[in-house]
Amino acid sequence: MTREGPADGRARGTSGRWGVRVVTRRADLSVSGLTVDLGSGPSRARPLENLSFTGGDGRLVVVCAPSGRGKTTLLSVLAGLLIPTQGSINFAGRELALSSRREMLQHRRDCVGLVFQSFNLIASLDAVENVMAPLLMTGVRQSVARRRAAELLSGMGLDHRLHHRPGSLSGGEQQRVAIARGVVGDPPLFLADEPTAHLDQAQVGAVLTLLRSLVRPGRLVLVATHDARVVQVADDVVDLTAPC
Amino acid sequence: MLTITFRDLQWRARRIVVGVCAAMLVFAVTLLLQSVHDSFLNETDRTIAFFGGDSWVVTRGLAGPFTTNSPMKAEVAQHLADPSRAVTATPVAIFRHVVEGADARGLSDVNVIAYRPDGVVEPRPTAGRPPRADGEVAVDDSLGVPIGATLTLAGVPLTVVGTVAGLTYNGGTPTVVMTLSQGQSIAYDGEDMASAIVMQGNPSVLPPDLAVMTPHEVRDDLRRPLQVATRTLGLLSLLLWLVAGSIVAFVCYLSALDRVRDVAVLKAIGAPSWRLCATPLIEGLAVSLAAAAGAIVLAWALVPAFPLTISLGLSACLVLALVAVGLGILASLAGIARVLRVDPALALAGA
Repeated sequence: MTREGPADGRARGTSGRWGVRVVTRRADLSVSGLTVDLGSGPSRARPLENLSFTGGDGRLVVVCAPSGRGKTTLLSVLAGLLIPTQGSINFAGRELALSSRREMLQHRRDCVGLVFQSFNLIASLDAVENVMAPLLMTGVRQSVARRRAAELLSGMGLDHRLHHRPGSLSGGEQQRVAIARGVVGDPPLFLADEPTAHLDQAQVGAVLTLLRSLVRPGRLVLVATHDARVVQVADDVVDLTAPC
Repeated sequence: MLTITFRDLQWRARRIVVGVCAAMLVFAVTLLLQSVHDSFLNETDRTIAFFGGDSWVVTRGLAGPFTTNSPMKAEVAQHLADPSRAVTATPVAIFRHVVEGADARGLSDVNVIAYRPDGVVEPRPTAGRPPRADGEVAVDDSLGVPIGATLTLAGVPLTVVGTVAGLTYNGGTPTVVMTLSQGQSIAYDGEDMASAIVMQGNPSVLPPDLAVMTPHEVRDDLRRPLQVATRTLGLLSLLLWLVAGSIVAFVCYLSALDRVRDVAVLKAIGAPSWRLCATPLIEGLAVSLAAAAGAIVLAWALVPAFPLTISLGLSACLVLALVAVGLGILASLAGIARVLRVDPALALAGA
């Protein structure tokens, strides 16, 4: 279900079934002339220079590059974790490059689902509690968040692992929990950093199927990887440097 | 956030328990030191209350009847009393001595209060009766001498006819109460002398060589020799509060260091920093309050082992709880500062 947003491009939120914000706008991404400098002085580096690309609503975009070519930097900027040095990032009508810290926090909370390279699940929380965390940050009641997280994990085939801590889950299971945490808030922008990096062949297939299933109207899924297998499920590919 | 905080406390339970135990020991020692300090002050209040009276008459120029010895004629009391104005006066003798027979090891230091019966001073024994005649004494129960036992003081055998509670001063030294005439025979070679006159009501006329002190002034005089000790105890207590606070701060800071990646992840998924500060704050308060609760129990258990009568009251426990809350909040600042400095971009950094 895709609906056009208001003319001013601002999000119009409402409470959904789970108390989760439903963003009623197109998840279109436009990156133009993006340059990012990191550090200062002799240690200064420029991982991204004059990068431009677009990602359409309901698409799976794969950003492909070898290690050290700015994939994670790009995800950091798109997630609102890093302010670009130059250029424009427009997502769903909102200009991210000009956002204040508060607006970036709001962008992360309301618009972005993140999956990290090394899962980054919180070791003290069980699977359900890890998935609940983003909902709790947005003020969703604990019982509602718990139910939503449990259903989501069950849907991913983890109903027997709901109360296991990350340390007792396999790599593939941890990745599924991490993906569930990323999508539990129903974000219009889903970002995954090297989601197959720590998985074996069998697990990669399952995760790619899962990622593909996340694509729907009203959401843009963007995956950064150096894994050629991921490119096979992409709708669009952004090649940062050399061919993958 | 409470769920995340509670789980984090569970996750680090072993370290938290070690921190609580260490802080608990320090808190317990602090509580006992503070109670010893309070006991030194409280015993002076009890001693002054023992005498009753509205004012004290002493030799002019004297700091007080407990710390200096410049006796006056006991008969002065008769001149100061004025039955028509309901002003009564009782001479008392106050001095220090040693007794034999209280301790199997030999001599015991005691304070001696000698009073004239049926006057302003009315001892209220917890067992037995007050001494009414020479050769009789009432003793503080911390001396450990039962009624009917015989003590020897300055070679004079004295029969214990009663016991009083909490009548100690000079740092828990027990007191022996006897009649004035008995005290005069021991301290003043039988002369009719007194250390001070305790008055009910104020004298209308005072001889020029005498001065009036309020009970408050007498109490301050009694406390003065212990000032060095009480100040030292106060300073030690303060230092121990700091040690306890440092232990709690160390626990909070270590936890915050452990959680840097978790905090970065939570910030990256949209948690505002102020929410994440709740975890070190709650952790600091939990460690501090748990340590304080344990310290109160430990201190209660240790009190009977002390030779000194220690007043471990509810107020001291409440003060400890309040200090624990303050220290917990202060100590958590170490963790909070670390949490605030965490860059959410760290979550996307390499494995």
